[in-house]
Amino acid sequence: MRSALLKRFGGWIGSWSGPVEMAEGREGVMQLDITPIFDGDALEVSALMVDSTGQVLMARGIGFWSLERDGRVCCVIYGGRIGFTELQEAPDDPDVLALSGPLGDGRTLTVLYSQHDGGLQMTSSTSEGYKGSVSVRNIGQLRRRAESESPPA
Amino acid sequence: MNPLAPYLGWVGVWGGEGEAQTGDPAIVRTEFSLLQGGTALCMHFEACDPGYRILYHGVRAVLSRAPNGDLRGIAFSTIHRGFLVELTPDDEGVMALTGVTRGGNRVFVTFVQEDQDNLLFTAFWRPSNKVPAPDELPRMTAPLRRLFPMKFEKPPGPPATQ
Repeated sequence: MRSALLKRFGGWIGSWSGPVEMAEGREGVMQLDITPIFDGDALEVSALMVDSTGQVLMARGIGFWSLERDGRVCCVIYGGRIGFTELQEAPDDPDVLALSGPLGDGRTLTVLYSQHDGGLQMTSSTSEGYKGSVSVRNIGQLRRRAESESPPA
Repeated sequence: MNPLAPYLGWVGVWGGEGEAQTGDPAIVRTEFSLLQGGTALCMHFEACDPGYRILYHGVRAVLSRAPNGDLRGIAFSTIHRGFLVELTPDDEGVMALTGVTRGGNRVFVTFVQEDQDNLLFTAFWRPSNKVPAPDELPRMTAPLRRLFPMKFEKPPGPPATQ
């Protein structure tokens, strides 16, 4: 029997990649892997962002998604630049996963995932203060990675 | 110094027979592996009944360097769900992790390296607002041995044709 988590996110499992626009105007490529663990009791979500040459690791992060008793997603996450925190699901459209939580320096991290046209978009941003002005934003437009259909030469 | 360095020698698969917190016998399998280009250490832990039908406890944790240089981690437990873990100072050859779950329990997990191919695993939890746990608290323990791939004198394969 599929877990409630897999019923909701089973279509997102797999490897995704695509261009990412990072803060400071930098551009690169993002790889996102979503993998079920413990029979779908949780999902491991791993992200790597490299520059357009593929040689420079610009950012990395990993997290575990699981469901709370009330059905909301809870996520523990670390990022190479942001450190460690817990994110909670915030209300949003049904096809959007919005996760938000505090960083150690008083800022708030928000990560949005949404699927449309067969792709997966991930947006992460940090905000600070009462007005929540966005200070950093990364946007990844991801497509499912496909296997080459032709055998290697 | 890379804070993962003391544990790089643990990368591999470990197994053993131990005792669950209930006192029941438990089969334990643990794997240490590197993730994301060696920037993070993954610890995957499974404890099940001797018939391999019931997963008593599964834990997957990822340790990495925090921006301040300390080694910290994220963990998912089939019992405690997701929580953050800290590496507490301890002797060389010891990995002592602790974290507070959303349910309000403080979890303690310790691996002690007895020699190159033997670890001793211990874990327990208690309400986080209690004083340090007395030794009589139930805990899961298991001696773990490194698992080596079986060696063949000749690689198995189809019989040679005349």
